[in-house]
Amino acid sequence: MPCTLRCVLSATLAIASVILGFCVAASPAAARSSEAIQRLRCLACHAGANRLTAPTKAAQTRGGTISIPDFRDADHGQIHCLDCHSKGFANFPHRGMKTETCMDCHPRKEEGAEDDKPYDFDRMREEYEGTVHFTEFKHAKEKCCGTSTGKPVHAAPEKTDETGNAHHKAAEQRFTCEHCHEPHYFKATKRIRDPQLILANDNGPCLTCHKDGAAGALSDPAEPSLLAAHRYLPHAELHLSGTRCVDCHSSVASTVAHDLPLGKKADQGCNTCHSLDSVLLTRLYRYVDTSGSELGFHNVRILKDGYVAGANRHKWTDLAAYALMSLGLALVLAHGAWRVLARRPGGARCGREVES
Amino acid sequence: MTPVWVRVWHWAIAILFVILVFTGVVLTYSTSRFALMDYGLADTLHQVTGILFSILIVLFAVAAGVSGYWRRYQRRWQNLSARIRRFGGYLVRGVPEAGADGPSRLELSRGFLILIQQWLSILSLLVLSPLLIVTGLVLLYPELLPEQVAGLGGIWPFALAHYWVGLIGALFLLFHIYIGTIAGFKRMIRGR
Repeated sequence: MPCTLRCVLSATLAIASVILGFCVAASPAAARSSEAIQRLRCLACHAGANRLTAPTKAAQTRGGTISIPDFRDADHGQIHCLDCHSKGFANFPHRGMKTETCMDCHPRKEEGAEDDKPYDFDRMREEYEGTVHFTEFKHAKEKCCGTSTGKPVHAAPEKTDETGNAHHKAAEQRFTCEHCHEPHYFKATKRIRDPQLILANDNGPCLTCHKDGAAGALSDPAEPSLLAAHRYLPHAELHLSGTRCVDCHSSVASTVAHDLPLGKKADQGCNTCHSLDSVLLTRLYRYVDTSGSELGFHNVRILKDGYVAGANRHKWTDLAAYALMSLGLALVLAHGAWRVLARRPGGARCGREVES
Repeated sequence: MTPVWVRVWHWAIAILFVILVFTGVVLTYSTSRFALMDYGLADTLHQVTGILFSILIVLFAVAAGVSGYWRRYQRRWQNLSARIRRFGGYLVRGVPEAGADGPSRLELSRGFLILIQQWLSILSLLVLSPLLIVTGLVLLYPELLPEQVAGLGGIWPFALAHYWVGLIGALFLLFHIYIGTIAGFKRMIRGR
């Protein structure tokens, strides 16, 4: 849609909103109508598939439009645009803009406070501020808009440090919550529930920057191949396709962790997942019923998606193993004891050698 | 006289199998907070020793075939079941023809167990080891296995089979070592 047409449409909606505002001023639904009209004004320009603009000076890409069906389905789908885009956005052209950050609202104190309770936002902030995501970009400017997942920032101009090494991570902005938790499309895992959908949802933000050949100021130049970086894992492909990045790259002490230990320190110990009391049950599979048993297997809900050694033990086989090994040991011990007792004076008789 | 190459092979395979059993236990029975050794290292060791074990078994089969050593097993196998049954009978009822001067039950059990040892050795070579190798190699390439079997992740039949063969292998190890303390380890050290 040409820009002039958008401006005309926006101006028309603005006039209509003023007229409507006068008409319904006394009505109880006045506030709601006003908000709806305001939203319509925003959508006049910003509705549509993700559209990227790349102002040359900004060295970043801005997300110009929002996919409304996806936005409506997301956690923030019922929030009004101006609740977050709080200053300078009500009129066009936008001037002196300010957008609230996630922590300006979360943890919520009133409505939704119960929903926020399981997430310890102070701990999450503390954990996050220890990660490379924060430390690498903490001197850059914090900016909300146009840096979200799905809209990777435009490749920033390459800078060199004192030693002359190219520094690709010369991002123009600080890495903030919305880089991973795109506020327009973010869905909490407890709404998704299905582990496979959670897997795709949660790995998406990581892969935006870390997938093979990812471009942008925040992409990882040190590890051009995801598979090569994980080659030390047995069956690396299966691990990459069947596991959430955060299930290894964050500590397992809490269900929702935001620390990202570097490199191989990321490993929480294979047995945290490869065990009967696998942490997968309290993380990726925490919203589905994992109590069921099928064909005698433990953690059958995990097994439906793929076999996890150690976690998918077979209860009858386990019982058989305990019984057989116990019986074997008992036989050996009994025969051993018999040998010892029989060797005592008078305990054994001489006889011919047996055939061997 | 047991040839040197057989003795060397035997002890090599024994060490590998002990490592396989131990790491197999770690891979199966670790909890999220405790493992007898580093789980990742156990997995690597299990794979490396498993491959070496497979190679040694194949090499033994080839060497035994070429050198004619396999005939020793053939001779041992002849009437082995009958001899085991006969000794089993002696163990229960004594040796009727020997009367009161016959061997003691302990002596008879020694003979019986030595025959069982021979039976177990042949069984482990001909049945257990090939099954262990096949099920283990299959698990090295899970991407080639069916995605789903009976509505569950397709690896489970092979993992379960490998587990069962490994379990029987662990039992074999237990009895083999114990009977070794009766029959003596000399033959596998000095050759006679």
